[in-house]
Amino acid sequence: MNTWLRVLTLLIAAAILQSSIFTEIRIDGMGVELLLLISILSGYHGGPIRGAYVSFWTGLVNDCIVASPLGIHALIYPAIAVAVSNLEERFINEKRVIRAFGIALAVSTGVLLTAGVGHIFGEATFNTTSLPETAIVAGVMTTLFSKPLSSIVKWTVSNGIPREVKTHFAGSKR
Amino acid sequence: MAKRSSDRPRVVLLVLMAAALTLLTAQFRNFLPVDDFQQGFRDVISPFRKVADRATDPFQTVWNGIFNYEKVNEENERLQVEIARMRGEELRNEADRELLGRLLGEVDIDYLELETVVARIVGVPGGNYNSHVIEINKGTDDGLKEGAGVITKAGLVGYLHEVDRSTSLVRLATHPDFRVGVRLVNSQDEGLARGNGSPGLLILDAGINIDAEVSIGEVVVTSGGRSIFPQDIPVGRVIDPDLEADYARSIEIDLSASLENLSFLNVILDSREN
Repeated sequence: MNTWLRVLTLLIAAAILQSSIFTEIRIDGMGVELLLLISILSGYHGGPIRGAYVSFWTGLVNDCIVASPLGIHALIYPAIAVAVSNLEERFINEKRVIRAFGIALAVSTGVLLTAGVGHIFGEATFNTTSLPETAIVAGVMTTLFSKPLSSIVKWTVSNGIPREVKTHFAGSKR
Repeated sequence: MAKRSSDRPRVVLLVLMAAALTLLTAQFRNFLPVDDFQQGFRDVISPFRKVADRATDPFQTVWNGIFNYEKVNEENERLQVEIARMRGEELRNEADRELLGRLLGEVDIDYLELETVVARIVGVPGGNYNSHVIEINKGTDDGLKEGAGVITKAGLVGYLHEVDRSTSLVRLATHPDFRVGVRLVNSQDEGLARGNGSPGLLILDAGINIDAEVSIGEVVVTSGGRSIFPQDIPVGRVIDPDLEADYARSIEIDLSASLENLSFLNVILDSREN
């Protein structure tokens, strides 16, 4: 299947899930940022350029389903994806806990940046007193869904990207 | 060989950010296709959402059972207290019926006769972006229009912020961008109240005289006029009249409708006709 057809299918499925079951999965009103997670994972698996493109469309889809001004999330998500992609090499060999922490941090940053940009554009939609708490809880909750989603996003965005090549040098014990 | 521009992440990122800013500009300048695109997308996925909602209903119930059990218990206790309070009030009302009728006549509260559509709350939008918005199960197919006032029998709730074919988003009165013209029943002073993000509170800080006599517990209703809300819809009671203010007063109003525990709402069909 063509990569962009895969992306389209993933985004529509994610939009349906984010606006149905994930509206209920909340702790004290704070919920999962499924589409932000897709952006982060697309940067991680698809590289900076493909990650940025996928994240842009992911942001637009999120703008549609949460009825925020079109472009707010699309402005933030590609930047997050590119940042994650640039940090990917440092994290790839780290322990699972460290990588999970990295995802939680990226989600929290995304939530804070979206709130900040929304505020600049006159959208006072976040409760500023509970914003840090929201960012942390959303980060933790979203990270719980990263493992199953990671393989789906990897299959979606890494189509056509050369696989990792393992090299063995003569005489090397590896 | 020179790198192609599409191979440079920074260039791609800048182009995408410029595209996002262009879309934002189009949105804020009320460039209609942008709004239509968003509404169209929500309308297209709406049937699939309903199917997904039904399919995952058992899971949602389990989740709510685990994480909202205490909340349900608290809600039960609150309702029991409310029932006890209402029973007492009923008895008191019977004794004071004449007085009550006269007072209601003076205040002229006839908002219950407004033409409304009853809507059920289906939830809140996904993610964490909209913290003072709820979704209802009625839309343009039911005659709803953007900007229509939303009330309950207890009083003011908010207004319709986005209206799709079968669902709508209600911006609650506590939303920081919410504004409503209000009148203090005793002093007859009028001003502009706004939400400030705090649950159950409105702030009246515009248009009110610094020397207006405002007392704790004073009833506040909508002032009508050119507002989207007809006049005399109960808003709440004053809990802090800010008597110490030197230059500008900031009166706190406790909303009469409990926005935390809503199930059904009334959407005013056309406030201006009413």
